[in-house]
Amino acid sequence: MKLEQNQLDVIENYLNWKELVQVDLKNEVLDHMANSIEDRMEEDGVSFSMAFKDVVLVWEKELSNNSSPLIGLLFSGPKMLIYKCVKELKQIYYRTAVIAFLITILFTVLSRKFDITLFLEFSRNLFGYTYFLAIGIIVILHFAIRRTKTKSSFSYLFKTQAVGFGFFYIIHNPLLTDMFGVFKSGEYDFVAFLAYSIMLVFSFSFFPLYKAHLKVFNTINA
Amino acid sequence: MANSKLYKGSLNTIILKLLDEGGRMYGYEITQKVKEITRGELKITEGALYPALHKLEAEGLLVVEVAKVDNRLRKYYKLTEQGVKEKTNRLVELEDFIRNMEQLVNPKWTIN
Repeated sequence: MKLEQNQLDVIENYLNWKELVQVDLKNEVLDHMANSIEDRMEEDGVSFSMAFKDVVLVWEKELSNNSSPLIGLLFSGPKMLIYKCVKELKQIYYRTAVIAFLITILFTVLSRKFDITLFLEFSRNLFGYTYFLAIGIIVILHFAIRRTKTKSSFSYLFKTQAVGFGFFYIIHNPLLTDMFGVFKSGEYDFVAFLAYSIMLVFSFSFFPLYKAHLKVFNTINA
Repeated sequence: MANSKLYKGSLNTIILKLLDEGGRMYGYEITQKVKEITRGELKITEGALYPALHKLEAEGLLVVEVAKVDNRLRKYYKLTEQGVKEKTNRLVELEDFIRNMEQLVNPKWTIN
């Protein structure tokens, strides 16, 4: 027994109401729920609404509203989406931390080899202009994602991280502020440089997120 | 999933094995196949299946294909070349684990 279009619409409306609008997850859950409902209707001889209620109960936990400090507590969504994004983000953070640490070690070596005033001026410009560039790239990619008129778990992750890091790229931009006081002090500060490097390296994560979103978009429109 | 703690560590290997045999499969089909093979003894929950599939996809072991079936989009998973190799490795590990567990649970005593 195959579901009619209006019955599929009922499932889709339910998923939209649960804020599972990311196509890479929504299509999958919709198909799974529709298959379960079809099997129940056929095997148990129950109506669509009865089968739908049963299936909704099965999915209740996975679709319950959730949030994570890693993504940002301002953002929430179905548990299934948050779980997937947290997994993805952990890998990004891990890669970022390792690369940023290595860059900071390089900075430490360079700070000892060159005149400290010149070195601090150079790094101030490097971080400052890269952060401005990152903001520009984030804005361009944001509009490129919007142009696809599609939401995916990757576009969700892009949006949540763009808000947080976009804010950091302004308030911690050494060309605008000296939040850690490192450039005024005239001394090298490993922890401050590590923080600046983390923000710098993280900016390279936005393009892969955009690419992953495009991949989802191309797969469903193939 | 029945005895979920015992099966949890083997779920990825089960998925890889099923996809190796079934070619390409979608989520619901995998749950039904496991239910059928184990005669209803093992039920993979939605909360365990999809995170596992997404993880394997992110690791590059699975590739996704989407097709329109019965007025809806269906997401099929199939093994990549790397996935085929990984399946073999993980099956060997799982078989070793089963053999070791069997020896621990039912030790065969020999007189030297």
